[in-house]
Amino acid sequence: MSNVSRRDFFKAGGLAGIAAGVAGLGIGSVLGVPEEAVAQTVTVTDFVYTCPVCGSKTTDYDSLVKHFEEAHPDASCGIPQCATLTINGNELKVQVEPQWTLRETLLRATDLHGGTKEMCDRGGCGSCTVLIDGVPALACTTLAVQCEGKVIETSEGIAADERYRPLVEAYAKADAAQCGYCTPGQFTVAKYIIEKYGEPTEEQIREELAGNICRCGTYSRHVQAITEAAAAMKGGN
Amino acid sequence: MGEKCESILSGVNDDRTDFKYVGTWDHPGRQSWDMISGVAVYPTDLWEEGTLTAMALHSPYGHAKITGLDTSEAEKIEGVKLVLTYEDEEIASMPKYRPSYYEFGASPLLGDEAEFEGDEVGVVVVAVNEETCKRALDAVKVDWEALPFILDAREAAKPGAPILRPEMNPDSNMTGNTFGAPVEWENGNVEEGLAAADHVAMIEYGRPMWSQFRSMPPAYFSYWANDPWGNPDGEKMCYVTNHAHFPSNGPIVSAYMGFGSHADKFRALTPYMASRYCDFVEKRGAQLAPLLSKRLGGVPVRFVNTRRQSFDAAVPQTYITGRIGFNDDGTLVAVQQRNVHQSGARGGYGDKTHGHLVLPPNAQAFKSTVCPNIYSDMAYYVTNGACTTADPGKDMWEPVNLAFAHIANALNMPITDVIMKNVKVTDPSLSACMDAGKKAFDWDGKWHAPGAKTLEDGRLHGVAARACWSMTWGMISYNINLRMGVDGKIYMPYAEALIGTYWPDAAQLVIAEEMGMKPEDVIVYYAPNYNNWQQGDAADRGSSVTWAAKEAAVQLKAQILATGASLFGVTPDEVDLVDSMITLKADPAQQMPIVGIGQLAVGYCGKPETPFQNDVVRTMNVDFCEVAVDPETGLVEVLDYVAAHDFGKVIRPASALGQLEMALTQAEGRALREELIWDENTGVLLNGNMYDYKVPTALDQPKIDSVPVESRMGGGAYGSTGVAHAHTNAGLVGLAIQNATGGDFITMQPFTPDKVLAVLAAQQA
Amino acid sequence: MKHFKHMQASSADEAANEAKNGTAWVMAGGTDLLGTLKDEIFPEYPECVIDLKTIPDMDGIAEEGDALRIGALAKLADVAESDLVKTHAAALAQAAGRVASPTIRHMGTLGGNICQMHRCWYFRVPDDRFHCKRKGGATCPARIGDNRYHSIFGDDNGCFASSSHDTAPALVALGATVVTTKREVPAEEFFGAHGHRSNVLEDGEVVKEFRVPKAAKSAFQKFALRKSIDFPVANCAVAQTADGATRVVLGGVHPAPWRSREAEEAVAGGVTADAAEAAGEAAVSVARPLGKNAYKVDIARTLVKRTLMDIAG
Repeated sequence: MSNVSRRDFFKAGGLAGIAAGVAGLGIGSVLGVPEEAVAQTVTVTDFVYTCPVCGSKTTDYDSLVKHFEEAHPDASCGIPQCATLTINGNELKVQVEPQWTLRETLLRATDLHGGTKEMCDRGGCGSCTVLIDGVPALACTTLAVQCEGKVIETSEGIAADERYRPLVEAYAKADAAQCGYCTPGQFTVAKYIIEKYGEPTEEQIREELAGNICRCGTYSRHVQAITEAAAAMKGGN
Repeated sequence: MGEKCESILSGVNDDRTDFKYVGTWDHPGRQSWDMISGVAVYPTDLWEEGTLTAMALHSPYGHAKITGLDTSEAEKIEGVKLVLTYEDEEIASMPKYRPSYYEFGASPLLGDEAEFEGDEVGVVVVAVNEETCKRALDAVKVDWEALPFILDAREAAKPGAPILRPEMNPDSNMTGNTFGAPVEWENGNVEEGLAAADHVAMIEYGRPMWSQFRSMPPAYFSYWANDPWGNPDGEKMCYVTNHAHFPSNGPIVSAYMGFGSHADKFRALTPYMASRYCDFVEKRGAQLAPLLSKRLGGVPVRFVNTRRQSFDAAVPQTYITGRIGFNDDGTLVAVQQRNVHQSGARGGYGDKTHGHLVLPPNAQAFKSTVCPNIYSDMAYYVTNGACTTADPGKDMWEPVNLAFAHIANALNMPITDVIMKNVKVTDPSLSACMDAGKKAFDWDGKWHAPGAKTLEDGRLHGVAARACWSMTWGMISYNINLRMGVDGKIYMPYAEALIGTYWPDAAQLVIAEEMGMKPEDVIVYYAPNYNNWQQGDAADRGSSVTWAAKEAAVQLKAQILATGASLFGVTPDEVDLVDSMITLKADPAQQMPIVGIGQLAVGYCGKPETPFQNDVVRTMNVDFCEVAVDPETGLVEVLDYVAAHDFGKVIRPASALGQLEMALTQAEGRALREELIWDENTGVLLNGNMYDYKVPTALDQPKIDSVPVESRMGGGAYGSTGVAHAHTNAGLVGLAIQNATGGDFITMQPFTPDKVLAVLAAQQA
Repeated sequence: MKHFKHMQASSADEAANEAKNGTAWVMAGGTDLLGTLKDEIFPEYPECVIDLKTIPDMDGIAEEGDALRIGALAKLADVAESDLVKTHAAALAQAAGRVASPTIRHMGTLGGNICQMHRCWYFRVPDDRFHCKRKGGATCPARIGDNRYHSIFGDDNGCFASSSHDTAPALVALGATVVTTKREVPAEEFFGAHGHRSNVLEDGEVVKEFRVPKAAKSAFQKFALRKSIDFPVANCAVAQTADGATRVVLGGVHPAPWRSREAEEAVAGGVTADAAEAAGEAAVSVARPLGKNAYKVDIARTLVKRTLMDIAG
């Protein structure tokens, strides 16, 4: 892992993997998505460490610390930190300020931009839900520094997981997304529901999704999609 | 009552009855995978290395003027890149801030006067991160002069009220409609009508400001970079998100106007916009983000707004008071109403929506009844609440249905009978909806006189129904370009950000249907530089885009067949397109793919012969609602909603019915909980968060039964018509509550426990 | 959020020690604190946030004689689903299961829930717009403002907020004891409007665990406008203690959970339908609603009656 640059790393197992997954799963042809449209959603950047005081850039953490100690000896915010996060099965060392939430960190320090959406940013809507050690958690209300040593899954990772292909397909078929903004959060909880209950009832699905706000009122479509997917997965597709 | 309207199908194949794809299920949306997985990137999700953060100062007062500003300490903070104030020359030279589409009173892009609490005012800072922005804003010294504020339209209308926008109207807070005047309208003679009526009743209707509640908080991201298409003058191109779903109103147009540049120098970064239910309000960041980025050499700038700062986009307050006259047979014979509408501090689109109808909105709907005598007047009054935006449609019919409910109560008739007696044109659409809806709801089994039924659990049971039109909204969605590529696929570009209505997917089905293509060979795709305008951003407009798509598809098919016929050595009449293959009619086994036969294209712009919907309502819908009211706590639960909606023709059932579920779920929230609440003493918004502004959860969503009716009477392809606007009717729940309690109608939405308990207490007293 | 240092505590005493000068604030699940820091609702801002979740072995749920011992870091979801709690302290399990939303119950802890600050919207408006009594100001803006969700039983130290933790009335009704790094406090004396806090904790004091006496019968009901996410408009917990007495505690009606002696007297002879009805009336006989919350009196009356009926017979 240490010899692989971030860029290569993502090509190997991150977002590019999802793009390949989409094409590989035949979704491109089913949905009529031109290949280049998928490619447009894949952006890969090298991680750059940024000084929180002046914005100077460095390419590695040690240089950042050196810069910080030289340039800002009196800064009130303390030396910038970094953390190793396990996201969708990949270990990732990134800069993390102590006050950064997991949502902010995913946005700024990884290329997983769209899986945790900011709707309320106060824990009241569920749009930023990820799974931490398999359990739903709000990325807007979780500090990234608290996530070291834990297993983080985002909607991107779940969607790229071959086992959860029936769930994505059922979601697409049911129009469970209307405007799509809350959907990754709901979809992430959906994985948890299927893991927890096997074949959940409507009541269980609604109870478990009750922290995820959808302004488009798609709730019954989630019930439909999760029920269908759970049955398909139980039957081994 | 009993009048019929004629079919207005027009164009090629509009009367088609054999459908292979249109009206069928299991066509996943072409962007569904991206939206579900989170690969789809919305404006809030944009981030690039080196992105700077921008924030504005927000007013802590309900209305205030800045009398002194010192930014020197803020500028000294390390990491602060730019501090601009209202005195900056370039800001002052930018086009005025117009948050909404048709907005009556523009204000400076960054001024010295805040017109509601939270208004962006005075100073904007750009810094390396959000934390530094916050520290810089804390370090700005501001002297405020607090000014009088008004939160309620009725207060603003009172003589002697403080004049809030003297530059617009020095004499009163009235803004009028688009034409700047109160609207007054009379048909027949209302006083005579009331005098002759068997019964006269007072009606009163009120609704609060509802947050438009876009799921995505306003997010503006902008940078300047080289133009990949090459710019002869070397000028950089501005990349920018927009947040209102009219490109014309987004930062794009504002920006190029301000920079003396051209629209083709601005590229939208907004394929997805999240839910935008008639919310046309842009924050100042829309224009400021491109400006700030330019001042800093083109670096990415992310202009930050919190969820709380998105609560200033609201449906305006509306108060209606008046009298109705009706006869013993249930016929409405006179209506007299006064409308007091609110405009927010900078309100907007509502004026235009209602203004272009010329009539006060409820008069428009009353005109669709048999009532011969109608008087209505309407005026808008500016307040300091928020920016207001449109909520067209159902408000036109809510007062009508309230009048029907009064008649039904007085005469002990089911409201369904009152509707059928009084709506002028009942056939074919209204009758079909009424019959189908009654059956699905079991209206005859469930209806009872007000206050007559208690459930086993002790709750009071109530039902109600209401009628409304299904709007065609077909005025601006008739441009389509279709292209057959060398890969044998059909391409349709569009430039509108998606808000969740699946209209491109409906167009895809119509094109596939008309051309004989497989749906997967029809690629409808987002093309941000495509200069076509207004294809179908809203549910209702989506139906009219299908009409133009159909016409274009037929023309492109003819071109393809002409080419294909020559390749077969036959005449075009002798070939057809079947499953994306050119097929010899005489011998269908002989097929040829269209891959590689060339590139063909069609541009179509035209309208069906459909008059703009005015007096004659061709497509209607009827909603039914069943509630249980807890007499000890006042808590209302919506048990069942049935929406019998005349779609004209359902193009894509998954999304068509989804629109009904969306609208009715919103209606449940608006009826029972949603309202913006300000502190009356300070003008500060109290519930601008998602704990206190209560959007329904999965557990609150009522059972919804969507009953599609297909009269083929609409203006879209195959007589299809609009969907959602009609159904966000909170008022229906109020009628059902009254049927449950048997007491007074609650005159102000939402129907919260305090109001329900007050009605029950008044009954006992 | 503005910057703060972050510290991972290894023990409650260590956290308490670090927090004793008031510039370091402690955080369990974070679902309440982080929102207040984002909104900067206080004039003060912490230099450091101490993460309690890293403290080992403080999330257990165990039986000890006639009581349950529940670690302060026990997740609300675990409390709600624990068979021990469901059997011996049903009201607490039910209350924990009605807090906020499922995801917040996975993140939030029992200790965090009872330390949650008031949800008064004047207190919570960002940027300290209302410098209210609780922040050192002169008045409570709710008293003459929009108080539809506020206290119907008067003030506490001049504050008219209503307690918004769902588990608090259950702990009071069950006669629980709150064990902190400094002392043991009966739950009944734990809550109130004290500075920013909704309880009597001092700087440098951390909740470690709860001792909850077993109750043969207890129950909880919540009234809110939505079925999830909402804080209570009012809630009610009742419990029958070992000596057969019945405790009745309302939440959401006063800055602290409101133990209704009047209601308890009404059911002293046993919980029957008539007694429960009388208890509801008795509970609100001393209510003093504000300008916009008289309806909460009806709701409180009904909740007392209905929650008692859950343990009747």
